[in-house]
Amino acid sequence: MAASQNSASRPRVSKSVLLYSAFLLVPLYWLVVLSLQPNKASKSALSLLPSPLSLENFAFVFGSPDWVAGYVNAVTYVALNVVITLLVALPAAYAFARFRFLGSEQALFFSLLFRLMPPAIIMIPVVQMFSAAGLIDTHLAVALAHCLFTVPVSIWILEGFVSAVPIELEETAAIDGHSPAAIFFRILLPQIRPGLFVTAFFCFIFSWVELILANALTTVDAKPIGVIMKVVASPVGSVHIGIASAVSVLMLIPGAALAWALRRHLARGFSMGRVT
Amino acid sequence: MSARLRQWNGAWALVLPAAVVMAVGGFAPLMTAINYSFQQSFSGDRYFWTGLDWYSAILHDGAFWQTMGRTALFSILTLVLQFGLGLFIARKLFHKQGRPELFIAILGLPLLAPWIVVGFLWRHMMDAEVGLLGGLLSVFQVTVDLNSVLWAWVTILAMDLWHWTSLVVVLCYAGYLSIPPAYFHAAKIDGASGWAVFRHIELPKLRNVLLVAGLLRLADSLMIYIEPFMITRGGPHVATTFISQELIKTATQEFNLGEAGAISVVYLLLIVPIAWLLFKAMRAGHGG
Repeated sequence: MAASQNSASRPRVSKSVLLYSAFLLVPLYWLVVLSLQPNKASKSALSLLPSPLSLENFAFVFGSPDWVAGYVNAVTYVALNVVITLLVALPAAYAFARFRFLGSEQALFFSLLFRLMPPAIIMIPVVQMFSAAGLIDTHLAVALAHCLFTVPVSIWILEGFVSAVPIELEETAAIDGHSPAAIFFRILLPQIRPGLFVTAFFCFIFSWVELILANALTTVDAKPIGVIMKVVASPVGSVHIGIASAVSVLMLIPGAALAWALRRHLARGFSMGRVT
Repeated sequence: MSARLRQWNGAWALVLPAAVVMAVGGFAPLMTAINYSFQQSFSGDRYFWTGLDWYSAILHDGAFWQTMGRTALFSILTLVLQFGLGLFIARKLFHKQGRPELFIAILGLPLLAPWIVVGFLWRHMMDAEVGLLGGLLSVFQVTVDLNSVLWAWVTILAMDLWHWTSLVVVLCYAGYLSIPPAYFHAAKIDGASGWAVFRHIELPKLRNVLLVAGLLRLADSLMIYIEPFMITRGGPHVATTFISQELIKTATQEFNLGEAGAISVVYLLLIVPIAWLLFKAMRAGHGG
């Protein structure tokens, strides 16, 4: 829109953007190369094409039930986190966007403060609390612990989106005799759909990549793939480049799919909300 | 806009579910950590009241302040690098690049890469013999040595630049989209220079989005843990040990919950004023 009008005469290619994209993509490409060649080859020489081409690393991962379960565990608690976060953040965001109430500014600030708190600070008490509640090693425990970080950002993003919807829309609907619930679900929710996508993206950004709490809260049944991967990737242990790369590639796939699916919503979504 | 907001304390009912989650998931553990900071723990279940002993020990501990200093230095360096590059790329993406949504998808990739993957990838990339960057530099007679303080810092800064600059780009690009095209037309008619357009139109319009990006980047750079640990294990010696690693080491390896609690409290006391200033600046932007 603005961009096309602004530079319609010029060739629409920026060298800086291409160079920056290459800077981002080349390491990822190399990671794929490493995952597709035997560990020995990765340890002996630098190559830009998998040589020899081999699927043994992926075969190992898919042949190990623990590793497959770890992958499923991570997907499960991230999905759970997104659902819980949206359920609790939406009404709160609506309240902050539409009303002033006792302590509303302070509450918003405190929610922000929690986003700034390193997970390391609350790790031990969170583990003690969840074990007292008998929730250790469950997907729910990790999803709830991650909510501490995803809920504040979500409230914040959604508040922007709700504020951008004219309040007159709701007032007119109310005069027309729609119930508050009908107004919320049939009128407001469709208006802020891109906001829901952007919020889900931000929950994913945190929950899928976080490992400190996920590691501390799980032992066997809910252990995510990232923690299992430490065995072959951590500088403390013996590194297996091939398997670590294969797991890494598998862990990049959901993110890549999400980035592709949301490519139109991400930037537009933000510019619609009041975040900008 | 905000003048139209209705005063209604019943709105708390809508905030309640989120407040409960935050109170249980965050406030209660935080209070527990603060409680530990006044106690000495033995064998995990016996506690003795020690008052402010941990605080005076920490505040007089040179190593603690050095860790805080390193963390602050890392944050400042990453923020300067990433906001410089991020703004530049967002500007190019908006003004000069066709099919921007394709590049937004590419930009999103590192943001969605698990931190352990980022750490593993970059440590291996810097390997002097078989690493992509390290091997390439060897061709030019430059030897990457992660046991040197300089290379360890360069690697971690480059890694963080790769990992997080995109967040600044995506947010700033969104900011650019919200600038009315009329502004650019007017500037063109006036024959304003690129710099003048950036300084007087773009920068003021991007103010809020820059504050949001600043807050997110500040928070995450201050709590960085897994990536440097994967690359250097906090070394050489303690040259890349940041506050989160110090906390985790104190709490889980030394089982010293009291000291870890006190470190947490001091850290939070330092971060609250910064958060407050950013929050005020953001809310001021909203009103206008």
